[in-house]
Amino acid sequence: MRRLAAVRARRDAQAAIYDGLLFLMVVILISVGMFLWSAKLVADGPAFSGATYQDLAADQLVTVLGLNVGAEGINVSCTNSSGTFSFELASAPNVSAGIRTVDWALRAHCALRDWALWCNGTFRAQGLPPAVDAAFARAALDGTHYAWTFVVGGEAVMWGSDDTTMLGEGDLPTPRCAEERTLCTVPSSGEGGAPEPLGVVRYYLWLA
Amino acid sequence: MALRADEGAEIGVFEDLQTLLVVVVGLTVLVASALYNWGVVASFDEGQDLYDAARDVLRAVEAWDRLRARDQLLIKYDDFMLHQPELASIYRNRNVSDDFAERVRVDAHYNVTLDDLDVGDAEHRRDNLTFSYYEFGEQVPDGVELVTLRTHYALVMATNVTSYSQDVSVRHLCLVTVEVWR
Repeated sequence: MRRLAAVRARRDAQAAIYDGLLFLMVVILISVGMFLWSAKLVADGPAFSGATYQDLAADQLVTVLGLNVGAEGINVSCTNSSGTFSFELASAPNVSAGIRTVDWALRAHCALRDWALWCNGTFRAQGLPPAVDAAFARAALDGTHYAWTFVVGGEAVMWGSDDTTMLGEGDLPTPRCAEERTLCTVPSSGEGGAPEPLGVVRYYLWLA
Repeated sequence: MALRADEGAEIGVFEDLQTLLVVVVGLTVLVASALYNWGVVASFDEGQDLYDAARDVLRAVEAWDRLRARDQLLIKYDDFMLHQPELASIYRNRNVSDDFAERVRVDAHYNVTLDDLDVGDAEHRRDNLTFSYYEFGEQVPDGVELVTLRTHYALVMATNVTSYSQDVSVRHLCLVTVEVWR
């Protein structure tokens, strides 16, 4: 009876040790989990969030569209059945008067396209993309790269980037922020009708 | 019970001293690691607050209707562009009524500089109302940990034509620098 009791006591003691070790193992696992979680959270230190960069991309696009474009040096060559004519962008056919901003310059491009379609002609405005790109380049933020495209009827008619390795949207690095703005017609007062889309400006921003 | 008394007395609800020791050590490890990690995350959050505050300063500026530019017919643009005459007025009178501080409030110290990149620093004169930069907030003390956020706004150089129309054809590029510290 005494031997049986001693054996039982030894088994109970062993079971208690195993239970204790199991408990400690669970505690250590939880503790390690907490360390890994906090280490992951603070790995890169505090930083601006993705939402901040998205806001910056939106600010940049709005800013550039509102900047003056150097329209004086932009010449347009228009050709139709009557011949070939040269104009300054502001006085080119179909181009409306307005404040000479990047937004106006992009709309002017759309107006020239419409003119070319309407009178079965062609136009060349080689100075326009560099002038628009100069505005984007001027507003580039230190520590970031940018790219932009102007898409009309599904076709990218103008684009630019400060990174010369960028050939298309597929080449843009990730993560990046993208912002776009659809330029629409502005119906004359009293004319009514819904604004119609002219083209889409896309702006991409990523960290250098 | 007599047998238990032989093996060792019960300690509270625990069967024996060894069980109590394991539970105490385990709970101590858990509490210590929780406290340590809590401290690490709390200090990280405190640092992150500065970054969020810098963003909040920009959002507060953009939400301020007085600074929003207006078109030829004095109708506010949908997009945020800076109205230079109002900006100049707030800057000129900043020592009289600190409207900027009343309007832009965040849970940190800040300095906001709006640098007109089309006007050189040499041309900056308060007397003839030509400003190269517009600075608001506190001076940045030496040795503090700074968080800096930069972006651009278009600065609309509006000039009155009549009492109900203005010329807004001239736009300047304005670099906005927000510096935030504790």
